[in-house]
Amino acid sequence: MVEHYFRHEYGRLVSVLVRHRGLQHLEAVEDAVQGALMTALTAWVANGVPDNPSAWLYRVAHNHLVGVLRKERGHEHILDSAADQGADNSAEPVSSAFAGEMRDELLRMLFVCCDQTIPAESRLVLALKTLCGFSAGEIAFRLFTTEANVYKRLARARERLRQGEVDTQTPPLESLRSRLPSVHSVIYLLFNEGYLSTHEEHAIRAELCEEAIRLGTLLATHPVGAAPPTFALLALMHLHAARLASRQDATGGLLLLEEQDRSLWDREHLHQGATWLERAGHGDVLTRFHVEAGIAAEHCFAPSFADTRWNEIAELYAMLERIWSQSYPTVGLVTCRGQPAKLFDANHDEATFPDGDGPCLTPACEATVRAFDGSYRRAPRAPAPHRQR
Amino acid sequence: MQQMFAAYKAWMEKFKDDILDMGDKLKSDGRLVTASGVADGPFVEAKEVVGGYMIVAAESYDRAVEVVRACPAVHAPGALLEIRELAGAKM
Repeated sequence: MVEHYFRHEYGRLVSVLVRHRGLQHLEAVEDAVQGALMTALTAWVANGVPDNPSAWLYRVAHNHLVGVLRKERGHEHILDSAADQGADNSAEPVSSAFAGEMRDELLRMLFVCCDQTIPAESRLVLALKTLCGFSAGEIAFRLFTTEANVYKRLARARERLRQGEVDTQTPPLESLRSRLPSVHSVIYLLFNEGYLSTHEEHAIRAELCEEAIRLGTLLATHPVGAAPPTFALLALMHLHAARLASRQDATGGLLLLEEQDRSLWDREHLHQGATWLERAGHGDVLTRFHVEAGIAAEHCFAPSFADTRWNEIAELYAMLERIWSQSYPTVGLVTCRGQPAKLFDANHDEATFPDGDGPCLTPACEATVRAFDGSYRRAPRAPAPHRQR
Repeated sequence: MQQMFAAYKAWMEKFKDDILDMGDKLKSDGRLVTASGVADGPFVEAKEVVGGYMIVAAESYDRAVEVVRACPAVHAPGALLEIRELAGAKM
């Protein structure tokens, strides 16, 4: 409980404090928030959780920050009353200045982080690190890159912020719309981290999935985000979330889809998923979230593993491959076709692998088929090419 | 729920022609948003059916082994691990 509460508070506190103090102080803000959370850990264990934990955290973080900024600048005028307006500890200021204003500070900061002046690959890193509490290692793992690279991208983003080029005020509606794809990516990756985590002890982190769904829901009810791609993203998140409870056995080990007890699937999430799906199925635009939501739905609404419509899923993966040429769609395609002949209507021996120039096609196909027919046991040892699964 | 799902699949039908005709002019009644960027995702086939397909960035084979070993998903009893270097992967 403690850990996921803190992760949620981290992003929220960073957002609120940055709003008051400016993006150029982002690093100092992060230090202050981390300091406050650490302080809370010891203080709350000793004295119990305060009545208003959020306000407590805000007050401590704010005090930390003021101290840090004062040390940095050596200027006492930082404590002037204008800057202290935000020090109302009982509630966060809710600005309703204009129609596009976002009531949720974290969501608003998400849009700010996805500023176009920040290089594309740095936007994701910045948002995941400062708002979603990802470690550099986690980010590196999810973006298929190295920690060193992550730090480089982060530095680039921070440099932009420090130069004061990025505004904390809510950008105009048109600018918000152009940032929507980046914001979608952040929410999607946050959900993904919860779905199957790299965490040492917890393979599934439901609180991250919940936070992603919370942000997605806020987005879907805001003028900028209320569009089919957002609805599709929400649908896929709900549908995957429905199955979380069934994916681990009593000792925390992961269960494959075939082994999962479908009666444990959460009906509320399934219903939400279906509802958002229906709303997503409008308009003239098809995004990868639409296709992925369709795949999730095929699984969620199948009565059993054996009765899953593998051919439909294969078609969806073929669609996905066309609009997103990475290895996962290929793996999906091959996995579907690799189902025993009685489940998928194709001659297994003649399974044709998709052509294309994606970098991962051949190994992905090989690995998947070998996983099904048991030939992985005959994989060559080093120094032959290593195989990845 | 099945009804809502069926309605959704029906809507998706209109994009199938566009997919098959990739390379030709797209039909005016549907637009595909191509996605770019390399990143992970909650893919059931890769992660729950095959049981753990992952892409890892590492400087060497040994380092890749370290990275993968840190993931709890590989510690299920009977889990088998294969690591293969992608040829020419641009990531």
